[in-house]
Amino acid sequence: MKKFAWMVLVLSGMVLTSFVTGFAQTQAPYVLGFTLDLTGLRAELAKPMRSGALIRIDEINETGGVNGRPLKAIFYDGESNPVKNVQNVKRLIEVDKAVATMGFSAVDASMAAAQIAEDGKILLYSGSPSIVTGKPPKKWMFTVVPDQRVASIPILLKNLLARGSKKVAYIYIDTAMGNLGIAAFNWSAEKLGITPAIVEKYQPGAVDVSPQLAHIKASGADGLLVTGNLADTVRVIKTARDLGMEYPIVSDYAVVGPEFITLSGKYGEGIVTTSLKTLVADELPDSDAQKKVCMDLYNKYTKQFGAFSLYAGHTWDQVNMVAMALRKIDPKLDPTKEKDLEIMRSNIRDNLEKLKGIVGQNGVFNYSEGDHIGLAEGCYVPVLVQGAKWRLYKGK
Amino acid sequence: MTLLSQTIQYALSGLTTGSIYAIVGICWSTVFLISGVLNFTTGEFVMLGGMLTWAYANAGMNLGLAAGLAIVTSILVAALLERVVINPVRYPSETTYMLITIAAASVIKGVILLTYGTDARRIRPFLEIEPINIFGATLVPQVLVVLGVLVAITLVLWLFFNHTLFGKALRASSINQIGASLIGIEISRFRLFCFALAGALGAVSGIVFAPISFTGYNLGFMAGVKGLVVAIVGGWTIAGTVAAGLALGLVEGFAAGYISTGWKDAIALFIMILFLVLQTVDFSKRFRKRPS
Repeated sequence: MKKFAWMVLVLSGMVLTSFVTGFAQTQAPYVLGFTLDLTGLRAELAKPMRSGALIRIDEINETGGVNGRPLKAIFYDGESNPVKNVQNVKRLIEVDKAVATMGFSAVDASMAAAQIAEDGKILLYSGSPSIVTGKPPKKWMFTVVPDQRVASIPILLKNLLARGSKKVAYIYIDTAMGNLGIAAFNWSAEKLGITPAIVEKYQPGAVDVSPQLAHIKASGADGLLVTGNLADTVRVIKTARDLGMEYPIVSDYAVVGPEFITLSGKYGEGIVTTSLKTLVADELPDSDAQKKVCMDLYNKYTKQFGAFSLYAGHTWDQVNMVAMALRKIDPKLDPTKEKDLEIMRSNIRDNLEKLKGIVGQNGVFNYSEGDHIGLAEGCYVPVLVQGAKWRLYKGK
Repeated sequence: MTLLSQTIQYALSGLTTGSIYAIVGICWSTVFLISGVLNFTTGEFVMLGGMLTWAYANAGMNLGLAAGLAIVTSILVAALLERVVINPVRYPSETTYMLITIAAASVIKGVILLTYGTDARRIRPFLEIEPINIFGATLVPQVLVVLGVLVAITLVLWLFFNHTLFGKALRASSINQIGASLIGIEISRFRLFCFALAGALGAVSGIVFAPISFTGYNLGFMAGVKGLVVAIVGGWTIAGTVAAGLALGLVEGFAAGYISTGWKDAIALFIMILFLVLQTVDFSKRFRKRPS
């Protein structure tokens, strides 16, 4: 009798432990660590990024998660301050046991955190322009944002030529952004065999740009390309139109979004810029491989959060591809154990590097050892403002 | 565009920005002359005028009402500023006042940033007519509004300071504040008035300029600095400030047009340094009239 009682006890104990550990195994989630500038100057970028990540995480968890585990996102606020972003990454690695760090709404935050991620042997999946990966790419640094040089200016110059402009004028803002712009302009003008009629620049926040535009008007240009922040660009466009310049004006891609339409009003009509495809998903041709995923995110986002922001696509892609990399790791690895976590983190990086032909929001990704951007040309399409709405530019 | 029309265009550009510099300069001088406070919130009131008008108009008010209300709000903020942080200072010095107003400027800017965000905002132009062509140069109608406002402000202030008892009393007490308080004049009330006046004028300039160049939480600082430049160059008098403002605007406009746009701000600040240096040289005093 006593023996029997012992057996029952041991048996039930075994059942109980297996139940508990089994329970733990299905429950312990994969932690995705995000650092995003949710407050401060860059908050307008980072909030849609959080929304985009949440949408993709919900989608994955609804279909059973990854390897039987749910994904869990932890968001820390980088406060638009690179130092704070670095602290967040450290905390995500050491305290929250994240399997990968992602988000990163700005170049400076990504760059500042690069060394911490390198030392922590963890993926730093950036959502800021591709220069962050470096050449050759840093081992742990990946991004989902296409090469900025081909993002906008070559497409816009071709657009101007196609619309009959013979003498192109260029005006850019005198900041780091404008310097990238002029470099891209010179590079693509040379490639397209264009000699600019005139190149002008203006100070950030300049209250009056009419002297520059008077120069441009005097140069006899018949097409204008603008690089600048939102308000500056609108000011240039408004001044140009007020000075009676009726010819096509195209703007570097930084202005795309609902704010441009509110600020520019009637001056915005007909202005062409470039955008990632999700913004105009419903107008993409059916043959476009991205149409389905783009439409999907566009509809979900606008339903839940209002006017669409392209930044949502960045984090959607990050979550999507980290989940794919996770699917290929050994499902028995336990993210709560330090040793397993180390293996997982390095497996995720290696698997990500092998991803090919992944259809995402920002383009079709093909990562490789020498390419941590993974996107070819053609991620951006020309768009224009028509009836106070961004629409795909389809030519005349 | 011919050389003539380009020149006219640069001049128009210069007059527009120059008018704003002049109004902001007047704000600096009225406060400094009467109360000896270098009021670094001056530029923030330019921002407040524009942003509040936008906010009220956005809430559904008509433009005139929104602008009026924005001016009233700015006056209240300015008066509050004087009563809450300037007036209670026990051992005032110019440095203390300066630091207090710099801090206050950050607070005003921060509140607007948190309330209305970082986006630039647009106000509808007051005159909705087509741009006017002058010898091939283009005059945006709103520029006429800006110039009109400058003329009106200058005239009214001139009449006020020279032909009303209160205005004369203000000027008199500014010459010798201790003397004024000894005969029983309460200087702090004059100071309150000047702060409110500067708040109102700053707001007006922000409102009339916003349709030309938009408004945003961060435009106050640069507007303020340029205003300070012309107030210093103009010798803290109203006529001098207006002349200096327009001159600075024109210099900037022509420098941008004929030399390089990059030099614009550098030239403006160089002129200020030049004036400050020249003022310390003895011979310049012989030719300078007493500030009136």
